[in-house]
Amino acid sequence: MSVRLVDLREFGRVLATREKGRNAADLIQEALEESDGIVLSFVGVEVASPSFLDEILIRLRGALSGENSRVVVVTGLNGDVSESLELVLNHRKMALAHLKKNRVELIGGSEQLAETLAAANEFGGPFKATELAERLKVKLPNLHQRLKSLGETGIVARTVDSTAKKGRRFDYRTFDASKAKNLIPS
Amino acid sequence: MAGDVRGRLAFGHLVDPKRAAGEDRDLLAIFANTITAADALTAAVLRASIEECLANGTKKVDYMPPIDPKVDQTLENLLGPLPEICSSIRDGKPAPHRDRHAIIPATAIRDEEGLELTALAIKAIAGHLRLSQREWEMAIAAAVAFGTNGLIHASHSTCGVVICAGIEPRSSAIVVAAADLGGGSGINLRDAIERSRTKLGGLAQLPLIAERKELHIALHLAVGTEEANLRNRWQYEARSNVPGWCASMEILRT
Repeated sequence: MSVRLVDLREFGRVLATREKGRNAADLIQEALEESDGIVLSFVGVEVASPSFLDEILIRLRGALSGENSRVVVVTGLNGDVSESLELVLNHRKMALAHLKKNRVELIGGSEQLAETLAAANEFGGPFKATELAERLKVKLPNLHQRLKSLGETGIVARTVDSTAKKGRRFDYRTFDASKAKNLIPS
Repeated sequence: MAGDVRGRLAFGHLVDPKRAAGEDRDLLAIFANTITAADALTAAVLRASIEECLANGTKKVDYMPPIDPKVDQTLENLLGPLPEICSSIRDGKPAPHRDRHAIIPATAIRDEEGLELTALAIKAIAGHLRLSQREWEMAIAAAVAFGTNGLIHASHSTCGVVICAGIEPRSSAIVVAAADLGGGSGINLRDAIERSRTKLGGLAQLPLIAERKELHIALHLAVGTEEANLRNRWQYEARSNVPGWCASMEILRT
């Protein structure tokens, strides 16, 4: 899996305008097209306005719509940026994966989605929807709905399972925190 | 200027850029001597007016400070260092010392870098002024929202976006204020706020950010002949003309 870092600190310590958000979104889209996963680093960012964050999230959702095979995590959020991000995620009814101390957690989104991500992380690698449904003790259509929501912003990625004999099946994966170890600026 | 010119009472003292451009005057005299109460918005309004007149060819500014020493100190600190051609008429008395009521003296911001520095300066000084983290984060959110709004919608303003933040000595409320003199007459404030709400604009998000931080805030906005005030809910009213945008947010402290 190739993982790329998008260091948002490059845009300043105070990320305020939509224009700046669009510039950052261009960079994110480029990184997404060239990798299997990206780390959005807010290390060193003091303030990110809802408008700036909104531009990024709209672009992320657009870029990851359809059959998404890429994972995205945010990291390095201070308390203020985290609050602003939650505010925008709630407004857009979205969620994101948050890499914090080598753990991937959900930011924004419902309890069910957080529970789904936590269970998916336990596999420590690729998994199938049936396996996750069994672990969570939920019905498959219900789980597919959750996976769809998690896929919208790259919390969960999927690739077609070429070994499947019947119909179209997918392998799912979450972000492997170990891949980001050497990427994140201190 | 006379009496209490805090908050929305300061709006009426802005210099109208159209008039400033039409007048060929050598001197701008600011009679602040009978002011009995001033806050960050007063300072933002004064500084924006000074910048506007200087940009339009005024050669000298004379500032008559408030007679009341406490008000003088508050305004001196909130106004900060004025351009060189401004004189404080003090009859030999020294200017007051810096106190703990100014967070950011009135500053003309002209680009995003200026806004970033302002935000970082609020954080840097917050500890000295004993602001809690929630409070300085909220103050920065307001400065960024007001500043961004001004930089985008009043890019042609000759005075830039003047931002000022201070602690109101009587109530200890934290006040963040901005004035830009950048036009904007004809804006329907109710529509603008609604648009800001749906499009996640900075101004409409301030109450939500405050709620998350468990802070009580009041917001005052004025543009053209419209004014909007928020404490628990938005209230709109007509007012006499305000050139450009004026905005202030108070973080109410108990």
